[in-house]
Amino acid sequence: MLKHHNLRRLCTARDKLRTEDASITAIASAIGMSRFHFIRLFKSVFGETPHQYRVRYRMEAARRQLVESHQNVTDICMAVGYVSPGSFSAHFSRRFGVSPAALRERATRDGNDPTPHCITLLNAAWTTESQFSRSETDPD
Amino acid sequence: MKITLCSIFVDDQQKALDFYTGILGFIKSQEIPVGEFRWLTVKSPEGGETELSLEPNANPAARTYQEALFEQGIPFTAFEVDDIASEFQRLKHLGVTFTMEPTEAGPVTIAVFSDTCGNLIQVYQPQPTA
Repeated sequence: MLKHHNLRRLCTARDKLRTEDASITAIASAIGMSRFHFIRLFKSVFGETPHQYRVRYRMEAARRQLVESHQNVTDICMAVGYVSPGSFSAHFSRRFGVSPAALRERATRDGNDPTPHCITLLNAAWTTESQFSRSETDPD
Repeated sequence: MKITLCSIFVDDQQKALDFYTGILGFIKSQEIPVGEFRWLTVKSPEGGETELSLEPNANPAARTYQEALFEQGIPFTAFEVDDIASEFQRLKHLGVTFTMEPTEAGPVTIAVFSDTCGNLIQVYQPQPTA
């Protein structure tokens, strides 16, 4: 059974993974766990290892900045903790299926809502479905 | 007016779909690409109209609310089960982490676990009526 104080320690660790460049071992130590125990418990509660979580968080922060700002890709790469634009681009493409530049271009073209919500996604899905249905029935 | 839709914030839609279908046993109902995200819902294999939307927590307000509940140990929502003792064993065997084992709480027996997507989920079994 996961006790509440351990759940809070994991939440503290999750915050550190976002805001600090400390190693996984250092973060485990900061919350009073061994590296092995920390990784195992984190994965069981959050569904991914601390490293996987950090990479995913950084990629999503980069995605938001690409959509919401005009910062260049290299600056965004550095801002989310990458030193190599090539490595950043490779991780980004693996995560989202498109390069950072392509995602920005698509967001600019399509005007995607950067802050999705249940009802905005539902309304957008209905619009997509009705456009598809209309294109099937329109002549030519 | 009917209630046929509810939603839960998740930190990753694919991770959520894998957990809610592969572990909890719900069935994927709707999946429509919407930009970087999906309109994604699951429903119970036991029937009923109600669908659960697996909603991305990309909105900072959503993430703040979700994380506050989680850190306070408050379940985001609750699902009813027919046999909580069996469900507890089944989910534990699948590696699910519980914060509360089956515990009698008045007219129900409850248990709480992490859904791996940033939420605590409560399951409950009503006590049989006399």
